Amino acid sequence: MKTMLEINKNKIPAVRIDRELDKYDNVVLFPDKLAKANEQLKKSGFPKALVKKQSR
Amino acid sequence: MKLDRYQLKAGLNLTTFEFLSEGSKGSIIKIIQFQQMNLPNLYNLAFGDLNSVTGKFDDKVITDNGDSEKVLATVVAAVYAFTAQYRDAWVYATGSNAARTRLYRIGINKYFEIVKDDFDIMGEQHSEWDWYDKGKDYQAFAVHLKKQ
Repeated sequence: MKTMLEINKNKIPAVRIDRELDKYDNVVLFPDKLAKANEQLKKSGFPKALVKKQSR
Repeated sequence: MKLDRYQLKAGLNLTTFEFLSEGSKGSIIKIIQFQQMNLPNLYNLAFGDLNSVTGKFDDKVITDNGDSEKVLATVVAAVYAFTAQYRDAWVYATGSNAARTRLYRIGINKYFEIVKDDFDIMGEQHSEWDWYDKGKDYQAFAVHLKKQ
């Protein structure tokens, strides 16, 4: 029987790394969308037990 | 079940993805970005077109390129790639309007049997979060790759 990790590995796509896209790392490309999401988050919150300490 | 999808490109950090939608309106550059929200490990899924003439990003455009199934499968693939890289991340998604949010729900329901074993999926209804139920209407969604 396959483990969950094996199943996940099969579904995780092969992604080509394009360093040209690195320029967007610190750029919010869709600021309106992010603002709307944060606004919604302010109203509804999010179960804190589900989010662990920031790891990035 | 392997879904037909486009080849994804991404920056080294796997937070911004790009692919080329090819359909009846021609080739359109699509951008997916996972944006840090105001809560640790919560990332907003943003998705739109890159206008190759103006160089601007647009998440409100209705492309209608005749390949929505393939585009949706590609976005799902990007969520797999991102959450596999950031194992503590939750990906938050809500549409830019009610109709788009409904499309997200239709998309989740369509692939629910495929992804439910891999992802924890939550839905937000009337400012309350609960585990996703295919029969309910939601204002926002959040998914997290399950641990082994």
